[in-house]
Amino acid sequence: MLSSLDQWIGRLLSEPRSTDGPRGEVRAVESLPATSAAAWKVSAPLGKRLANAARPYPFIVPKLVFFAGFMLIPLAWTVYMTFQGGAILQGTHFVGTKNYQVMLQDPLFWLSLRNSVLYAVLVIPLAMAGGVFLATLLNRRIKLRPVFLLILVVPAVVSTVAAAYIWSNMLATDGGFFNTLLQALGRHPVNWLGTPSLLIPIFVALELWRGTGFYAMLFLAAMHNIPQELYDAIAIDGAGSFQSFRLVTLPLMRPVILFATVMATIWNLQIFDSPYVMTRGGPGYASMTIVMYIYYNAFKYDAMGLASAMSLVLLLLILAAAALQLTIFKKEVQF
Amino acid sequence: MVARSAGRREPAGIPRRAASAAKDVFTYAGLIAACIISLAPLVYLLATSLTKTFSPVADLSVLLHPNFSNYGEIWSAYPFAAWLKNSLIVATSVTVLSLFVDSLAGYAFAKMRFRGREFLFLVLLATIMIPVPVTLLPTYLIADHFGMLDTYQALIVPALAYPVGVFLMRQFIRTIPDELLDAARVDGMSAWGIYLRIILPLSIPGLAVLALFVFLTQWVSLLWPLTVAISDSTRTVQAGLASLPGQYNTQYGLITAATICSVLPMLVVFLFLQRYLTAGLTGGRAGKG
Repeated sequence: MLSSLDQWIGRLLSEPRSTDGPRGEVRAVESLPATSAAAWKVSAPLGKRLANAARPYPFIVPKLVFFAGFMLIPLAWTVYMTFQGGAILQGTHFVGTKNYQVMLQDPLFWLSLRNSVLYAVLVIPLAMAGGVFLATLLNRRIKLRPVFLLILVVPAVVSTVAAAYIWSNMLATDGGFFNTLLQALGRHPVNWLGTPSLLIPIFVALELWRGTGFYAMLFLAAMHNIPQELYDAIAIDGAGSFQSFRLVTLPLMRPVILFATVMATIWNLQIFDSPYVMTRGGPGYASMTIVMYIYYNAFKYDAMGLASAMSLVLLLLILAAAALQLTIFKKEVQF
Repeated sequence: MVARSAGRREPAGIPRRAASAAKDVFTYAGLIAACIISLAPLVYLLATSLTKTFSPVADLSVLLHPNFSNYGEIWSAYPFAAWLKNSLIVATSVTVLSLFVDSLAGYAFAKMRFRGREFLFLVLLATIMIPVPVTLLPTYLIADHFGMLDTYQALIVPALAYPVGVFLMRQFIRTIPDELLDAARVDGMSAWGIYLRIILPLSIPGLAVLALFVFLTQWVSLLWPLTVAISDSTRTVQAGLASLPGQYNTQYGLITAATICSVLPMLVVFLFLQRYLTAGLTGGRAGKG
């Protein structure tokens, strides 16, 4: 009896056990009557109690310092700057909502926003569908699975800058891969990067080439974790492979697909690298994206307030898209 | 994992077997087509880099009589060695520091109880949604204020604010049994001792996934290096390549050789840590596939 109390106190003096169970559940304390817990609290020396309370902080403080300095403070600063006019060097002054008004009347803002959204709306469903499709193929009983997987994932380690150069090469008007192919088929060569309507589809194709294999790898990992019993059960009920895919695989993969969709939305709405390398936003401003326009406003046009306002619009857009995806996925769960 | 589809087989008549064979053909055809799409641009890239020409080539026969002179020239044509060195220093530093800072915080969030833990974690997690441009300008001004522009510090320090690593490490450290930590505590081990001798060794697969993720993210990062790495003394490979003025874009042989050299280090790291990635993604069950 005494020894168990001793052990219990020893445990309390070191840090409390984590509560992995439901929130608020305190396993260590529950194992003893409440009165003795209260009695200990009163009798423990104040210094010891403080040392105990301070123990987690050396572990989280380093992260929190960087997080506050380079995430929270910049975020607040950006919100503040949306109400400021003037340039960095000349000093700034309060201008009310003028930046927002200028932004809303700026046709280039709308064009670049449209380009980014159009790109994301095209890339995300295609990448997810492609990833699920390839994962399904890889999940079948096949030989050389690791080799196939490796080859499919390799483009994901190619940076977008490198990928943009690769594709610029293949899309070159004179002697590029695609035009050589077209000419072999007896067609006229196309000025790929000079045709505004082709640019977004080109960026989409580039990203699908780069990203689909990565999503396939992610989804394949999730498929491995689906219990075989579920497939056995539904096979007994006479379901074919398409049925078992629709009724078992897809519903059980919903969380990972949702996760991938949300992350892909965050990344892809920030498209910058491929248009920056391939077209610098041109011809004219045809392939300007919202991140590139923010970058130009902040560092080339010296319009900090405007850039800040636009970056907040991008943040709101990402939050709205994520909320929308969560709602849709939740709704689909309850059929 | 091979056993999966084997278990689904049942005594089947000939039509079934034929259907299954058709499915196999479809599976392999699909995968091979996908692999060709995956590799073709890279092969094309390689072919172009092995040609001494100012126009791109669609002729793969150059692979039979390669000309490696481009790979010799990129070092003098661009400050490529400096870029490569900068990228290596920055990506390695951020990776090592992130592993340390994030595993510390991940340990606290996974295994310690303190006031505001859930709230703090939620705040961290929510900021994953904040796009880079939102913090870009203030971070630049902060770097400027501390005289960090065009230094390695400017490239390294802000990257440590990114919250994903804490989330990853917390998820991983949660799977370490509490009993193990309790036993160590009873033996009189301090929280730091537990971190060094139990948490870190048992988190190696998680740390490997994080290392791969951070290194890759840093290696391919463009927007921030483009903003703060002003001269070639700090410019990374991506920022360097992306800043090449248009006149270089027609030197296809040179630029493709440089592109390949920028991809190779990443490929090496990926091949080296890849088995951990599969293990990490399947929830710690390693060694399959």
